[in-house]
Amino acid sequence: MEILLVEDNRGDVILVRKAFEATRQATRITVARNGHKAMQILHREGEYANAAVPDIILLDLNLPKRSGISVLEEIKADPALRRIPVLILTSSRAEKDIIGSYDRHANAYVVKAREFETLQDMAKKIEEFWFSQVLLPGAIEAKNDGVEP
Amino acid sequence: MKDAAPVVIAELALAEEFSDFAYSVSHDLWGPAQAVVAFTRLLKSEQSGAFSEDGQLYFSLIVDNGRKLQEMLDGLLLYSRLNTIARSICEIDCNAVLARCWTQLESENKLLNAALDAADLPRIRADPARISQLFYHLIDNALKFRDPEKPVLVGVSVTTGQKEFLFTVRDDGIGIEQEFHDDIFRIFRKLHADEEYPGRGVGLALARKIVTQHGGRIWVKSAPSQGSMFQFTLPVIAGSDV
Repeated sequence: MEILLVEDNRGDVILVRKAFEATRQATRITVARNGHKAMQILHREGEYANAAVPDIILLDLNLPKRSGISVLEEIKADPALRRIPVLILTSSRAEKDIIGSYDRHANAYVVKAREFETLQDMAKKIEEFWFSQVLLPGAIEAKNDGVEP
Repeated sequence: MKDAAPVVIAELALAEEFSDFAYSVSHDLWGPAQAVVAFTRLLKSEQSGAFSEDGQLYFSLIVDNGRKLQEMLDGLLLYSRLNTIARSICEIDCNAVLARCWTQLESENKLLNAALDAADLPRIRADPARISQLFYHLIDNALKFRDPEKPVLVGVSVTTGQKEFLFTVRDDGIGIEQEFHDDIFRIFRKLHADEEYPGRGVGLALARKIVTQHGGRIWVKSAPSQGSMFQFTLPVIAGSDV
């Protein structure tokens, strides 16, 4: 599974990577350290021409320069990108951030776990739900191809 | 007093700036403290063989103090939220608030034989989240500083005056020396080592802030080994904003 992690904090990047290392399915995490980079990767611009389309996007809200909310807005306004589930991953519990994210069609809002063990558990649950339980747009086509005569 | 109004406005702006500042400090400092704790724990679990017994002790001290810092920031955040989040006043049944706090604290403290002696409490007009916090911290305090030699009994009563309610929360706990009766309401002020009584010294500071925000006063009557009696007033009609 391809994950795009939009996160500026180096420590958090390492912790999220380590948390997903323990999950069952192999995941590849691409990191964008700011919103601009995230959009370049998603649009496969310049040096990112060969970037994989992520199955899921983990998006921090508190980013340098361009905010996570504005990145979310752009993704959800783009017909080519808006089907990719965006999970907000933030330390904020502020109501304006939660409501603001769902108003802009975030698929889930997750508060960053405080303990590493809880973060691992969160990674496991994300994997179980988003990578196993849920059918994502790409998966539907693949399944139909196999079943239909 | 021609200058009075601008001075008041300047003071209000300063208060607002300070509350924003306290909120940012407590919220934004959390991340770095979190990173210190998380990576020290990872280092300890992944490479503990490389460190001596002293080294292991230093790990524990870094983690313990990092957590302590986080808990203090949590406390500061709660405190500053009382300034940044507006009060929403409605009618509250204090009996229900007290019952909820008691149930929650009884199970948190795993107290099997704690008894609550609650009088019939009035309905008041106040901010429900804050009043709940107020009762929670006063009851928490009464349970935490219990006398291990005595059965735990917490009493809550009220006297209704013309203009204000006088609430009393009393316990048979270890009590407090007179000289600290004001001190205990200051944030982070503790009278015991962490090993004796855990906690960050935030609860009573929150309680005082909440009472004064509702136009009331709070104080304690207590002596060592004599239990404590916390009393606070709340106006019968929701008071002017602070």
